[in-house]
Amino acid sequence: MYYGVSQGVVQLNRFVPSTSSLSFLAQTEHVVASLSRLSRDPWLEADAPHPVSAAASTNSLVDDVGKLFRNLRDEGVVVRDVRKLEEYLLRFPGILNVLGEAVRAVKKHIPEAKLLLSLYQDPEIEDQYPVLCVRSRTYEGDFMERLEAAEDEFINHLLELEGWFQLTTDFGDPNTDELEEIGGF
Amino acid sequence: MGRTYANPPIIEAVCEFRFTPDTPWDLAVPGLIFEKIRDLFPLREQRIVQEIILGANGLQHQIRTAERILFFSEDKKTFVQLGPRLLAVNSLKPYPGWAGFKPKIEKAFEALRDTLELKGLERIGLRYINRIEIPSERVQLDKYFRFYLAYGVELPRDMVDFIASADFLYADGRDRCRVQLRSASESNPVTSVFILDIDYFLVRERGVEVKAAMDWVEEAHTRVEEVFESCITESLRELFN
Repeated sequence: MYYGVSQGVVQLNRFVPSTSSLSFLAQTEHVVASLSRLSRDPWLEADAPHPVSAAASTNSLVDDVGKLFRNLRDEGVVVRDVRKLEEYLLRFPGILNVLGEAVRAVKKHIPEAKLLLSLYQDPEIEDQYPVLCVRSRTYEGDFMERLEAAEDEFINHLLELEGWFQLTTDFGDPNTDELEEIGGF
Repeated sequence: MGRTYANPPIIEAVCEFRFTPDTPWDLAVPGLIFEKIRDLFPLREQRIVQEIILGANGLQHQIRTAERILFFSEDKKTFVQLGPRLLAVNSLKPYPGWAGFKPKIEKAFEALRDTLELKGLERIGLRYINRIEIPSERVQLDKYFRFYLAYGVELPRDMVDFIASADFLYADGRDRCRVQLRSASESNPVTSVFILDIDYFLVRERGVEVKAAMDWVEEAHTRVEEVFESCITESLRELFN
C-alpha cells in the first residue's frame, strides 16, 4: 500500500491482495486523522515569500507615543503620569517631536542633567501640558543661561503647533525622583 | 469587534493606504482634500515623522523625515493623515464601531480618488490596538488569552515583560495578519496591562485594484474581528462587559 500527497489531494492505493480491506480502512483512517491534526496544529510556512512590504507596519499614533516613551526612558528620562501624558499627546501629536527635540537640546547644553517628564494640570482652570523638569547637581553659574539656550533650540517649532510644552527646573535634588507640582507659568 | 462590548478595549483603529510610486502627488493635494472633508475634519495640523525606507533587498534602508498633514474631527478623536502617497484614517478611543469608522475611511478615500489618479496600491493596512486591563497583580495568561507566549516548565514562571508576535497568511499569501500580544507598564500596581495589536495588511503590491480597495477593507475588518475573538477567552470577554 502507498499513499501520495500533492497540493490539497491525498490518494491511498492498495495492491490486492497484499492488504486486507480492514487494514486498508484502518490505515486510511490513520492518514486522515494525521492530516486532520496537521490542519489544526500551527506550523511555520518556512518557504513563504518575505516581501519587503511585510516588514512595515500600519502607522499608529498610539504606537508612536509608546515609542517616544521608550526612547525617553532609554535616554534616562523619568516619565510620570504616563496615561495622562499619552492622552495629551494623542490630542496634540505635534508635541511628540518637540519633546524629542527638547530632550536632545537639554542633553547638549546640560549634559549632567536629570530629566523628569510629567503633565501639569492647572488646579483652577481646565489647562494642562507636559512639563520637562531639569535637575542638576548645581544651579550656580550659568545654569539658567544653558536652560534658556536649550529652550531656544525648539521654541520656534513649538510656537507653530497646537498644544503646549514647558521646559523648566524646580532646583531639586537630581538624586530623587520626587516631583512637586510644577508649572503654571 | 464582532461582538459588542460595554467596555471595548480598542484604543486606536487605523486604516492606511500607501500608493505606488507612479501615483502623482504634489504639495497642493492636502489643500484639495481638506476642502472635501472639512465638514467632518475641520481642524488642521502638521507633524514631522521619520519614515524608514526599505531597500529592494530588504537589507539596506534609510531614514527619511517627512511631513504629514493631519485633519482632525471637532472632538479630535478621529483624524485623517496625508503624506506623500499615503492616506490614513485613525480613530482613537472611544471607538465609534465599524458602522461609525468605515464611512469616514470611505469619505477620505473617495476625496483622494476624486482628486488624483491613483495608479495602484502598494499596501493597505487595517490595524486595531487594544489595551487590555486585568485587575490583578499576577495574571495567568492562558486564563485570558488564546494567543500568548508558551514556554517550557524549566523556565521561571514569573515574567516581567514579554512580546508574542506572529504573521498569519491570508488570501493565498496576498495578505498577512500580524498579531502581537505584549505586556505594558502600568502605574497602578494592582492592574496588569496588555496590548493586543492586530495589523491586517496587503503584502502583494497591486494585489488589489484601486476600485476594489474598500471591498478589501471590509474583508480585512471581518478577518480582524475573527482574529481578535480567536485570541481571547470567555474570562476576558466578561471583563469587557
